[in-house]
Amino acid sequence: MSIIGKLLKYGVTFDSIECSRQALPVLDFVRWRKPRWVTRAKSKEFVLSKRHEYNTEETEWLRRTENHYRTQMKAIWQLIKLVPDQSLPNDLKKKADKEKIAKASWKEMEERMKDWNEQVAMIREAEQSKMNQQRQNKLLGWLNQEQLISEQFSEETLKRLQREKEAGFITPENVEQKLMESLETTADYEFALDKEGVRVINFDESTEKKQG
Amino acid sequence: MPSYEVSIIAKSLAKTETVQVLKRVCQTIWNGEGVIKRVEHLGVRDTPYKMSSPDGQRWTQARYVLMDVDMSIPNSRTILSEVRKDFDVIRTNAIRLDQSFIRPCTSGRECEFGEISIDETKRKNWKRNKLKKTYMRTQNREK
Repeated sequence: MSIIGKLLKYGVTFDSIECSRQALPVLDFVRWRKPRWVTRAKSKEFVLSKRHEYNTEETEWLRRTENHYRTQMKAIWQLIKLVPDQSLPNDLKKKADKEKIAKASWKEMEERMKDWNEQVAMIREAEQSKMNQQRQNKLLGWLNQEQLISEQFSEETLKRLQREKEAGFITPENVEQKLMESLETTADYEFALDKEGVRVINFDESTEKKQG
Repeated sequence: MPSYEVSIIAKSLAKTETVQVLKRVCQTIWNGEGVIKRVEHLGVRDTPYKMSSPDGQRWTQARYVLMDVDMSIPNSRTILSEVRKDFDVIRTNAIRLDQSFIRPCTSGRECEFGEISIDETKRKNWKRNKLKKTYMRTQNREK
């Protein structure tokens, strides 16, 4: 604490005293403490402080009373350990009652939970059966669709084969005939077209012109 | 099944022998569940360079044949690989043909007046490419 703080503590106000450095050393009640680096004063080097004198009667009385208290307390604790039912009947009764209540409440809770579970299971099973039925119906629908598609596909393949025959595609039956026909004729695509649509086979003027 | 145009460059053999070569080719296509629509003969021509057949012979002239074939995409590779093993076939290749536009009136459907509806796949692809291009352009500008 600073010096000014101490002054305020003892009720000194700045109005009453001139607060300046010249005035401060005058105040004797402010304790001066020795700095730690300063050695002990030579006048106080071999001084021994007086030993504190105790009152013998008082000390004896205090010791006696304490011993008496300790013995009494020890006895009480031993009594509590030996005879718990007689010493604290109310607390034990309360404990037992609490346990009984807890057991009863647990049983009640279990019963209630059973009922709830049964109710929920009923709802769940009903929903699950409905879902399964829907799924079964969907799968059956797909199967039916697949059957229809396969039937249609077989019909389409038959139609395609007929169409091929009609269109004159090459089949193992008429291979040789078709190939011989194609080899007899030769196709030429090396020509150009005029604006009038005339097919020009060679770009030289001397060559013939054929109309396309 | 998409339609392909299969081009075959065979050895310049006699007609009866070439028929047998083409029959073998047709058989491989049928084994791969393909349908042969048409065969076209382009004649015996000079090859652009000396071509060698799988048996090691060198040919300056060859017989060019075109085939319109319908076959599935996975089977097309196996068919071509088997045809290329034939000794009398010098070169083969298949080009996928675009489906020509058919009017709904002629195909039996009801006529769609106004704008003809485009497939969703085509529209999506067009949109994706357009967005990609714009995104790249913006990135380039930022750089």
